[in-house]
Order: sequence, then C-alpha cells, then structure tokens
Amino acid sequence: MIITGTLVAPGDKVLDSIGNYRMGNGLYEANRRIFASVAGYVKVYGHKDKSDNLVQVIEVRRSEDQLENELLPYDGAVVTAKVMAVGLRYRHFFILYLRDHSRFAKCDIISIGDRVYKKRFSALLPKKKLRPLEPELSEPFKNFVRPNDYILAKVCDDAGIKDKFVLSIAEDELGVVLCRGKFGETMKKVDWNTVVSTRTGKTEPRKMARVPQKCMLPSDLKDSTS
Amino acid sequence: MEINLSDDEKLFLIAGVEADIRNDGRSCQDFRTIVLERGVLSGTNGSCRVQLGQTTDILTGIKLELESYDSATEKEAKQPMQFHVDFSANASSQFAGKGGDQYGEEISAAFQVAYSRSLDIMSNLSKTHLAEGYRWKINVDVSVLQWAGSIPDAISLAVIGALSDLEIPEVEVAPDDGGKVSIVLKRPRIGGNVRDEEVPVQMWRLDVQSCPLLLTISKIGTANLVDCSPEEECCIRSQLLIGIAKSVSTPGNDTYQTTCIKQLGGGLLEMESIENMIEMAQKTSIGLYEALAKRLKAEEKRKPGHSFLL
Amino acid sequence: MPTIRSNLNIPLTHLSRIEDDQMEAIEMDKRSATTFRPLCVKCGVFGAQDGSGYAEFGNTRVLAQIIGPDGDGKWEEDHAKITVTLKGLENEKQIAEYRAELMSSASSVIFINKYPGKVIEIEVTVLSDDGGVLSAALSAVTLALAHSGIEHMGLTASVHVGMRANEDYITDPSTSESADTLGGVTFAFVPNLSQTTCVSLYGRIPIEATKSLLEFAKQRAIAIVPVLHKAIVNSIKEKQ
Repeated sequence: MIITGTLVAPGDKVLDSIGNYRMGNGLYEANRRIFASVAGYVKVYGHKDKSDNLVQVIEVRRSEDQLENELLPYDGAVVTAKVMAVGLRYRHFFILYLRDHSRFAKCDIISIGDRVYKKRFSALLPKKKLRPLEPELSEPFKNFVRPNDYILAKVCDDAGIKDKFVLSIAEDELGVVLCRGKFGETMKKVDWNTVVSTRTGKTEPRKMARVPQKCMLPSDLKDSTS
Repeated sequence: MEINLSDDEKLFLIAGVEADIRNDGRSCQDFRTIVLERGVLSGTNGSCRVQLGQTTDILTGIKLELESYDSATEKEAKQPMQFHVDFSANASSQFAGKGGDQYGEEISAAFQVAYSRSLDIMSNLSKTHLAEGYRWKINVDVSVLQWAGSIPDAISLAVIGALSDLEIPEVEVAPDDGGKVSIVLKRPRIGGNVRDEEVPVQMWRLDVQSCPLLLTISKIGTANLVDCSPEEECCIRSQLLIGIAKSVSTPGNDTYQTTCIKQLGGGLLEMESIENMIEMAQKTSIGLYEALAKRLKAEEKRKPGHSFLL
Repeated sequence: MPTIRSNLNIPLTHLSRIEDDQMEAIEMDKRSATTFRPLCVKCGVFGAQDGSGYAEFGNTRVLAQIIGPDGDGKWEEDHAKITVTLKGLENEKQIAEYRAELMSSASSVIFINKYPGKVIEIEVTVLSDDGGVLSAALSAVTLALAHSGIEHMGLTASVHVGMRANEDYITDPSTSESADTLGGVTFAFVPNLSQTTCVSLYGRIPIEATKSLLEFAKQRAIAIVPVLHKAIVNSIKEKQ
C-alpha cells in the first residue's frame, strides 16, 4: 500500500489494483495494475460524486496548486481570452442561420487566472454558450462580443469538438471585461448589456461580466494588457 | 491513395491474420508476386525495377563516380555506397509536396546502416578501392513510383538487382609524378587494324549473393507478417526493419548475419516477439535469396534504348 | 550498478572542467564489460522552464527540451503530433536515422490521445559526441518528459552495447572503444511494462548471437533504471 505523499516517477506502480479507489489524474491502468504517468506525489482525497456518495480519489499531482498541475486549460477553468474573429465556420458545422451566419467566435486563451501561457491556445466560443438557458439564440453575435474584446470565460467540455477548447460565457460572472471602440478608445460600461464610447458617445451592446470583487478587476486587466 | 478502414474491417483483417489467412489469400510469411527487371535505364551504370504485387513500384539507378579522398584523415576503409531514396508525389497523396522527404531520409539512413559493413560482407566490393586516395563511389538512387506497402523490402530487392546489373570498368593504376597515380581504363589488346578507343573497356561486376536484404516484419494482433499490403499497414501495432546478410564463406553451409534492426513507427514490443520476428526474417530471407539468385541467373537482358514502361 | 559522477549539480557549468583526454585514460583501464562510463543525468536543467533533461555518458553529452503541448493552429487530428528536431550532429544521414528512432520511441510512450489537436516538440541538442549518442538522447528525452508533466507510460531506460569479434560484450563504448567491434545495438525499454520502445542494431552480428546480445542489453538497461528514477524523484523534491 502506497501512502499519500510518496514521490513517484512515471511508470512507478502505485497500486496493484484500483480496488475501491477512483482513478484521478496522472495515473493509468495496464495489465490491471495502476501506474503513475507523471512525476509527482500520490494524493488520496475524498470526493462527493453526483449521487452524493463519498468516494476516495487517488491521483498523482505535480504540485499542490491545480494551476501548476495542469499543462493545458482544463475543464471548468476560468480563463482570460481575446476574441479574434466572429463568424468562422468550424469544419463540418454548416450554416443554419440566414440572417447571421456566425455560429462561433474564434478566441485565443491568454491566461488561466494569473498564469500566462507562453503560447496562446486557440478556442471556440459557440453561439449556444453565450447566454444561460438559451441554446437556440436568434440574436446576432455582435450583441454579445465583438472581435478584439477581452473576455472572461469558462472552459467546458463539448463532445463534438475535440481538438480545440470550447469556451462558455453563459454565466453572469462571465463575459466581456475590456473592449475598445472603433478608434481604439476605451468603452465604458453603462449597464450589464451596454457599453458607451468615451470619445464618440455612441453606445454598443455587449454582454459584460459581473466580476466578483475578490477576482481580478477589469481595471487591473486593462493595465496588464494595454 | 489513402486507405480508410472501419473498425470492423480492421477486426476482420486482424482475426484473419491471426488464423494465418490474409485478405488476398496469402499466409503470413508469403510475399506478393515480385517482378524484377534489370537494365531499364540507359543513363545509368546499373538499374533495376521491382514491382511488388503489381502495385508497389520501385526504380533504382546506380551511377559510378571516381572519388578522391584524403587517405590521411580516413584511417578505416569506408564502404563506397551512398543511398538516396526519393518518393515521387505520384506514388501516394501522402508524399505530395515535401511529404515524402522525411520518410525517404529515414529509409536511406536505414540502408546506409544495413550496408555499413558491406566491405566485410560482400566478397569483391573492396575492388572498388583503386589506389591510395582513389575509389569508385557507388551512388544508389531509388525512386518510389507507386506506393502500396512494404517499401523497404521492395527497395532492398531493387538495390540488389541494380548492383548485380552494375558494370564497373577495369582500370590500370600506374604511379605518376609527385607521388600521385594515374588511372587509365583497361582495354584488352586485340591488335590488328583496330584503334584503341574502339575496343570496349573491360568490365567487372559485383558479387551480390551476400548483399544484405532489408525486410519489414510487422506485428498485427499476435501474428507476424511479411510484405504488408496498404490495408494491413493500417492495422500494424509495431514494426521491425531487419537487415539480413548471407555470408558464403563456406560453400553449402550458409550462415546469416544481422546488419540492421530498427524498431519503427512507434508501438511497443515484447522481447520475445523481437526474437520471433528475427527468426521469421531469417526464414524469409533464405527463400528470398534463393528466388533472387534464380531470377538473376535466368533473366534476359532488355534491349537497350527501350523505355521500361513498355 | 553504474557509477555516478556528480551529485546532480547543473552539469553545464562543469563541462569546461573535465579534461577529456585525462578521463579517457582513467576509464580505459578500469572498466569491465558491464560497467558504464561515468554518467550524469539531470531532470530539469533550466529551473524556470518545464520539460528539460540532460544526460552525460562519459564524453557524450546530450540535452533535451520539450516544448508543448501547444496548439499550432493547423493540426486538428484527435491526437497529439510529436515532432523531433536534432541538432549538433554533422552527418545528415545520422540525423535522419536518430530522429526516426527518437520519434518512434517517444510516440510509443506518450499518451497522444490525451492531447488532441496539440503539438509536442522535442528538441535534442548533442553537445558532444563520443559514441552512444542515441542512447544518451533517449535518456535525456525520458528525463525531459518526466519533467514536462506530459502523461506517458513510464521512463525508458536505454543503453548502447557493442559486441566484439570474440563475442565479448562491451557496455556503453566510446568512439575509440567501438572501433574494433563487430557491431552493436542501442536498446531502450519501459521497465514497468517490460516492453521495448527502441531497438537499433548495426554492424554484422551473427544471427545466432543476436538474441543473447539483446538480452545482455536489456540487463544493462535495467541497471540504469535506478539512476534515472533517482534523478526524477530529486527533481520533484527540489520543486517543493
């Protein structure tokens, strides 16, 4: 029996069989034995699953902090992304709407929390993930986000798209945190659905994020990106 | 040509192979029909075309070059053959553009390894060394015209065919001023009214009966296969490229040497499987050497000046 | 058990301190058929960056760096693409040969299905070549993989073994030592699964002797496992 905190290298046998544990990250099964697939330490923790049963999860972690632990944006992570383009069709998804063709916004993930990646990961923001509880949205994309906006979004799982990360802003806390107008001027928030240009006074629709105070403020983000 | 097999088709193929029945009716250790023709390219010193199962098509040409080298820096005799494998974009869509470059480099590197000790293996190859600082360089250029599996096997047959077709001029080496040598083509003396230039140069040929063969042995399911078709190549778990040379030091009592083993294309292998695969390669090579020798003896020369495509 | 020369300090700094000729002289008279040249392995060479490894077998020194997994905007398959670049060797044929072997070995251990649409770049730099480059490179890559946090099946232990004409073996021969060998093999395998990831045999080995040569190579590879393991565990400790 291996104890919590044991240091393991990839390929080290962690358990003879999975038994009553649930397999977490950093492990794989071969010949019914459980081996580590990354270098790190073994951690066992209790976890309540969907039917509220307490299960013991065993996993190998590289470090205590989950951000350090994951190499890639993981499911459920809140990320900062930049909208690169709206309206691109993605591979075998076809145009369904005549009025507004856009089905996806193409985004680049810049950071998870305050950890900035060296390279940007491309991600997709599908239209059905724009507003909560409204999968068949008829409003055009530009009422929510426009190219060059910075957004807070959550990484979520999509069965159809495997090679790119799928983002969602279908929560009040998620949405646009920084946007600029035609001339590069700052757009100020009027309410949660409108912004106004500081130069021309023109208003534009946006889905703004209600960023909780303990998280990074939009003004902080502005400093770091401008 | 891109092959897309569904999972069920793959399962059918794997189950068949494990029962020693392949989709085209062969058993696991059978080759497809091999067609070998020599003397197909007039611009080369030796050439050969090999067809495997009517679809894989390889063209090999050899050019000779008199090379001078610095004998002071090269202490050990280097083997004179240089390989270059080129994938035609016509062979398969995956080789279009620069697609085939990397694979071609890998295969030519494998041949370089397999032939690296050929000076010790092939009996009269050392004759290419003419004098201190001078030798024949043998450039072997391989073009893959059509791809349908088992490229290395077909190339190795084509290389041997071309080497057997290769005619190397006999030369006379005479010492010259300043410690150098002069190399003159050797012509038999006929006498009479014939001018020297009109007498054909004496030629000699390489002894190819112990040339290394390169075989790919593939593992599909639990079975080992030779000469995989493109469909079978989709199901390969792992593959060994095995170079085997027959040494004929004692007549009638052939021994075999491995000149190269490479594990290619990813995939894991058990020690035991490796041993079985080497054994299989040896068994296959016996038959292949026999068939090759027979063909090389019986083959008629083509008429020069005709394209090999006819 | 192989000898370990340094206590895992950053080896790049002491590259200049080793007198190459002197080391050759010492090792020549001390080594038996089963001992390695003095070796030094390190998991994580550049402190701040993830995914680097260094292996030194005698005077052969190889550095490996892994970049990724990243998206490159073009690759859209449902598994990761692995690319290998090899620097520091002059012979192009050799580069092509080693690159194929490294690629094959790395792609067989990495769980490529866990990184769809991503590219994993492996950069191998040969700092100096004195025989056994491929096995040193394989070791450096496995250390870099462990340091990068990319999920894979386990460390690969690799070794270069030569065979002399009288069927004597020599472990990890340097260039001068392998001059009189019949041939040799670079062998790499994953110890926990007991599966090989790389076999690269050259020269002319009688077919009957091939099996025992591979078996000997496997035994030698097993001997190197604890060294690699220790280097990896040390790197985790350092991190904490």
